[in-house]
Amino acid sequence: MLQKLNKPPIKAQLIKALWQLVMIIIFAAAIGIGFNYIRNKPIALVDDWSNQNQLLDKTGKDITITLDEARHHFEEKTALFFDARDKESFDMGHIKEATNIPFQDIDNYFFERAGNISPETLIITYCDGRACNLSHELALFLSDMGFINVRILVNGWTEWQKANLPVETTLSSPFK
Amino acid sequence: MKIVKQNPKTSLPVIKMIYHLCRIILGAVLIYASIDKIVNPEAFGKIIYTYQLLPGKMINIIAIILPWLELIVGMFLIFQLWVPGTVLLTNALFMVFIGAIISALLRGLNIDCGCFSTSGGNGSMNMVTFFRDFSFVIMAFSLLVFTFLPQKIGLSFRKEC
Repeated sequence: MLQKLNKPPIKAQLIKALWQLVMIIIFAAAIGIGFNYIRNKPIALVDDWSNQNQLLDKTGKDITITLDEARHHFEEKTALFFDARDKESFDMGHIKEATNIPFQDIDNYFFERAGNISPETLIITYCDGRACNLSHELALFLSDMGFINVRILVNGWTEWQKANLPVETTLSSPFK
Repeated sequence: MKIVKQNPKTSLPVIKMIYHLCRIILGAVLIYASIDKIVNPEAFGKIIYTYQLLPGKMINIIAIILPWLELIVGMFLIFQLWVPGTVLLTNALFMVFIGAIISALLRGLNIDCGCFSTSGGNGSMNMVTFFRDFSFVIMAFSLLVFTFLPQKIGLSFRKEC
């Protein structure tokens, strides 16, 4: 009985909770924006995160490649294909003769699998899904490492399969 | 046959312990998750972008504010400040996080969760990520029940504020 008298009704509690919730959000927003303002490299509060903007290199050049172009280079053997997905996804299936360089574990794979490749070689990176940015991250990393001819095949694995182009699993790949 | 009658008072310390354990675990998780994101808002923005859930113009502002929200909510949970609002916000945060994870898994996105780190070295999200976050949702929900419905379960131990 005493407990009931001391305890505010749930409606009052909820109103209090909502008020506190709003205050905490305002507090966090003020600190976050303030901290961003005084940091060495503040980021813009509003930026262009459009899909197209994510597929540019650091000079603003579009580095995507179409499926037809990629197919041409594949048939002519004038490009290397780098699969940026994790090993498990790669093992289940990938573009024929592609090399797996999981971007999330780049330090362990880069020198072993790309260390001896000429910087002029055309490299096509891909992953899976339009939202997947591993191929873009890998392409930028390769550019930073001195490769001057890197392109991204957007949604590469899905598009490649849809076009019935040659694929393989790890069992027939040189990289297991 | 001996009938054992359970005294409701004996279960109170256990429930109290569960409440405080959930509170401290979730507080620590939120604080830990916020640090790397506060240090690297740009990298966190990239992770938000990969979920493809928010309009591009909202990504930076969320990347700036959300980690601080996690940090403040985590600290408020641990120090038991503004408990009703903090618990409500904890539930909202974890519901948003698990919603984003479910959405990404259903769409087959091959992306990093970005839950605790922005460095991208944690592998793609999978069902382990889902179950880990689901356990946090359950803990957050139990805090909600203990905070708002203590009379219904015969409890009244929350610190008033």
